[in-house]
Amino acid sequence: MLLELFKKCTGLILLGIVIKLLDDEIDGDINEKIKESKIYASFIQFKMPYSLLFLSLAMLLQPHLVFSIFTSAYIIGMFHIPSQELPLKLKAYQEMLILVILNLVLVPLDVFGIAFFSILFIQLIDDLIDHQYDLKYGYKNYANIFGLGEIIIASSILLVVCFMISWFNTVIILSSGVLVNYVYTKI
Amino acid sequence: MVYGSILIFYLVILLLGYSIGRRVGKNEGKEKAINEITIYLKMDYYNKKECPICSSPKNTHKR
Repeated sequence: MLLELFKKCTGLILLGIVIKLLDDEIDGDINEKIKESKIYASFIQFKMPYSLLFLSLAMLLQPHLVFSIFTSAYIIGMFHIPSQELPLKLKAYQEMLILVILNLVLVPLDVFGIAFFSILFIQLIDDLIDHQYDLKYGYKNYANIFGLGEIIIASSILLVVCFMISWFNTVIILSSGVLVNYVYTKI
Repeated sequence: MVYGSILIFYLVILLLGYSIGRRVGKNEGKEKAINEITIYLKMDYYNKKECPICSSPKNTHKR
């Protein structure tokens, strides 16, 4: 029981680090963070081997949940650019569809459900926190597209759905997300 | 399980009502603003003695 808990927590923290590095790579403002801290600068030099090592270790510790969370982070990152042409000669919505089908076939339905909804919840909370900043600088933000009140109500719906599926997994996923974010700002 | 379903049902209806109401209110407000804008601009000029758009004093508008 305690071993299961330890494996789950470690796997999710490693996956959180990988997803954070991936987001930084795509968003493209690494240089500012490099000037601010030395640990991050030395880490970002070898980001590819470290992230592959962490991802494979996390995937071994908790196979279904880590795969679901990683692919749903990929899918939700693609919601903003649905018809862009990608290097594999597929459009973005086709890649999203392939990933969803893969998840439905390989992973039990409640694991995929809780992974997708909790990552969507984290994305909406992030959009709520910096909706003023994104309005000023022109980034894509769901709270600016749909309106602030709608996103508040939608994120509470998602929280209730996640708690209904499995409260234990929800608590662990959300707390490891908060922990990774906190360490990232303090580093 | 039952309490969760009832809560989700209530929140979905709340979301629907809030979003529809906000958009309808925004359109009504825009229509009312277009109808009343001239009288408000004239009242502004009457009270402050300078043009509300280009802030130039009495009757000498900048180009």
